[in-house]
Amino acid sequence: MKSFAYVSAPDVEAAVRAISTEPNAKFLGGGTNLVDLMREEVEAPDTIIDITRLPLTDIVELPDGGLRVGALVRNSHLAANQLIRSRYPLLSQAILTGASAQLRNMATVGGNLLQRTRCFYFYDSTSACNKREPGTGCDAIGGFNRNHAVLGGSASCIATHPSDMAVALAALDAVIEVESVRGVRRIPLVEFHQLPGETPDVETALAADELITAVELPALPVAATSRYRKVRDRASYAFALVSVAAALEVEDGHITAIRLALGGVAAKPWRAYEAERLLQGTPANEESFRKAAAAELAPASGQSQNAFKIELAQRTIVATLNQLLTDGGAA
Amino acid sequence: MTQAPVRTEPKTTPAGPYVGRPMDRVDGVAKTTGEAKFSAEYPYPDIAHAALVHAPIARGRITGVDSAAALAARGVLAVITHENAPAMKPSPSASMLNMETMAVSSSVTFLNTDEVHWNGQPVAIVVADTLEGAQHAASLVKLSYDELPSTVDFTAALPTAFPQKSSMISPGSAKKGDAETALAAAAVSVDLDYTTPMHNHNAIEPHATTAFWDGDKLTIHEGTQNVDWTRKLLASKFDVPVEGIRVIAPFVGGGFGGKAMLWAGTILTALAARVTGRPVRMMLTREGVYRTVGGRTPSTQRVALGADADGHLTALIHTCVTQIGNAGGSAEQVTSQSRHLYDAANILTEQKQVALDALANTAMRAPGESIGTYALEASVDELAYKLGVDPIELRMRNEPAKNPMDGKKFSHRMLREAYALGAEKFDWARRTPEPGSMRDGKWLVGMGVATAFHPAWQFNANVTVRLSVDGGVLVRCGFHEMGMGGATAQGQIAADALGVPFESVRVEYGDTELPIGPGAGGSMQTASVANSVIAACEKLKKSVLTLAKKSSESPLKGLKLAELKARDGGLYQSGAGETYVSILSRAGRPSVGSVR
Repeated sequence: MKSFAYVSAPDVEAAVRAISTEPNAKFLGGGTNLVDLMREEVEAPDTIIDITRLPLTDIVELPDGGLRVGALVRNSHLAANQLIRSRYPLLSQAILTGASAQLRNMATVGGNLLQRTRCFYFYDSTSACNKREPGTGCDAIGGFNRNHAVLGGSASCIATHPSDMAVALAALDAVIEVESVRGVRRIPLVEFHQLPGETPDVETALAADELITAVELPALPVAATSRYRKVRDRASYAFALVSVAAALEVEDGHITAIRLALGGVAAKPWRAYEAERLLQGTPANEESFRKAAAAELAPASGQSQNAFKIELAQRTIVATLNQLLTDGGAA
Repeated sequence: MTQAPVRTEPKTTPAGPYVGRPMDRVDGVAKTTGEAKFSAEYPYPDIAHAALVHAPIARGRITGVDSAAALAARGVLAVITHENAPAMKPSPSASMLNMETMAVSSSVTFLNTDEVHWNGQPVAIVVADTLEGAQHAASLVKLSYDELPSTVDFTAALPTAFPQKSSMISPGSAKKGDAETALAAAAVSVDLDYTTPMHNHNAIEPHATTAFWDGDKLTIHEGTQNVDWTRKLLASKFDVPVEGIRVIAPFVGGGFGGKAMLWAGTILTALAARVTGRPVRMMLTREGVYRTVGGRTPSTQRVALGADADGHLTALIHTCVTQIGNAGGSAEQVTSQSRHLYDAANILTEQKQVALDALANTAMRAPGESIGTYALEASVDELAYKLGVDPIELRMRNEPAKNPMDGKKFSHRMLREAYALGAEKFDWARRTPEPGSMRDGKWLVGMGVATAFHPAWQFNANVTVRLSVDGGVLVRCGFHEMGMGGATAQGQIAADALGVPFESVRVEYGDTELPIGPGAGGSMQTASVANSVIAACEKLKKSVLTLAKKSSESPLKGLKLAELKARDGGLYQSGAGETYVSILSRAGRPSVGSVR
């Protein structure tokens, strides 16, 4: 680990001022990913700005029935929150499928959004990786890529975003609030994470001097009937091969509202707009689900070891929607 | 949160015999409170920390070293590479005359050569005032390489497999009759291929070393399964007298075979301490373990079984290919159990290896036997399924009366009894073999059977036992504690042998200052040491009896040891007898000792 300077910010204003003046600085939240990356020297900041004392730890009800979640709310608190569990059960479920209890106790909402891919080649400094070192190439293409992307990848990078929480947030139309010395702005979650294109090192819409302060969840009645289903190589403490966040509302056998997002398949939480469009208003049955899933995955392309994900994603979509149809949402 | 109450009442154990009884471990409190010191936890005031630089190529030569940036980093004391490292002796080749040569893990002369033999081979060690400083500086050492063609793909290399040589513990291949012909003629047969992956060592304590030199004398705290072999190999490596080297390892945080050999990290930490003149500590990172300490070889195996219509085996074929490194590695007895388990008329076992430009393989939890038995036993199940015979019944039908290969008598077997007892305990009769046919609530359950055995090895164990006039007993032997409860077990053995309270026995171990004990490996340490402890205790009782008989007052006058029972802290014949304390006090002796 490279030596670094440590400063602790007492409030948001001080934090954003510090990041605007320090040239190579990082915010430290739970540290569950950043500290690992610093140990591997994948991240090598000159300055760490500790933001864990900032007053961003509340979950507040909004007038329209939505919720505002502070960026420093711990993942475990968010998953256990009664309002989250009743209004957005898929979010609670998604968080609880991720990491371990110890990690969830440390990890923050803002940090979860900013965690970086677990691509082996990204962590291994002797490998070629355009995300870690632009222009060096991508050893995952043609290498060990069982866990990698089948949607939205490029010739530069096929890494996936590792978060479960973010997949649920993508389905829920969440909005990220960020702040800098230049002011406050709001970014829809689905526009927050970027596909790799030619610049896989650019992962989010967050500017270098911006701090995530909150995530807003709009009122969304359909979310009350929702589920998160995660498929992985072992039952616990593993990243998703494929995951599905889904919310479904059916009236008279027809779909009146639907939200669908995929994890483990792309560099960003993959909101399945095409499938949603096809399903809206159609009969709620397996045939509709199957067609929509196939259409969503139509642009997918597999690598040497992960082509199975294309079929797996479709089956997981169908299975999750079937379950919502027959058993309703998660408790 | 409230703090858990601390147990303050002294623990008293009822009188022996202690063997076979559940006991609290003597090191339990030390381990659970963090008091027990592991190799990277010994404090030295001026300790320095080390980190390795690994070669990123599988085969080649180092063409250049640039240490400037690393040397300029804060707190860096030394960057040691093949360009500036003092010469060390090459490791000796394996010989039965010098058992410690069994612990040579690699023929590479680390930091005394520009050759690279595997991806991960240490090519530099960096020493700094802090751990973080050493690790960061290690990342700043830049080496250039002339890369040579390499062979690293196990599967692709299979056509190059060559016969495995016989080792001291296992023949390479074995043959009885004509198994292939018998297989072809069998009424029922299975012919199956198996593959097993490489397994990396993952002890909870990564390999750790703390070393310091005083002239040619080296003290080294080392997580090892063999303090004696470590000492001897280091003496040879650094060309210093073996008496001057002390290896200390009272606690080892898991070994599993991965700490049975001398790996690069240990040698290079000792080297770093010699070069810098400071105590140096290095605990391998997890990555460091994977890259410098071998694991279990991958394997491909064929098991073919032929049987008559009643399920009696007519042919048993078990062949395998495993991997070694071009610069180190060991033979694994993958097919060894197939020579002893089933009464087949014709048997063929064959072991082959491929040599790769890869890290040496090493022992891990029943090396060879575990992956080999898996394939054999899975095949027996396949045959049972094909025959429509219960898998336990099939094994019973093929249980041999004598060793199937050479007709020798078994000293101990009782496998039929084990099958019967296991079947009874598991309620085997309720088993239904169809997949998904057995449930326990929401769970689908299955029942299966497999057989394995392990040879009952014993190695030399030197032990001293000393009985003091205060009733205390001190057992000394340089054996190893890596989680199995060695000190507790030997304390139980000694307490029973002498008939003294368990609490009065102290066991010293894990130090080359002690009588040389066996290594911890092959499931033989406890039996080896216990044998010597019992023998030493017998000699001790004889000495004490002789001492007692010197006095006419002793109630033991005229009695032989065979007529006496060691109990209640002394020697007794029915009611009459005397305590050790009384005998030693009267004779004015502070203690009596014995050596085995």
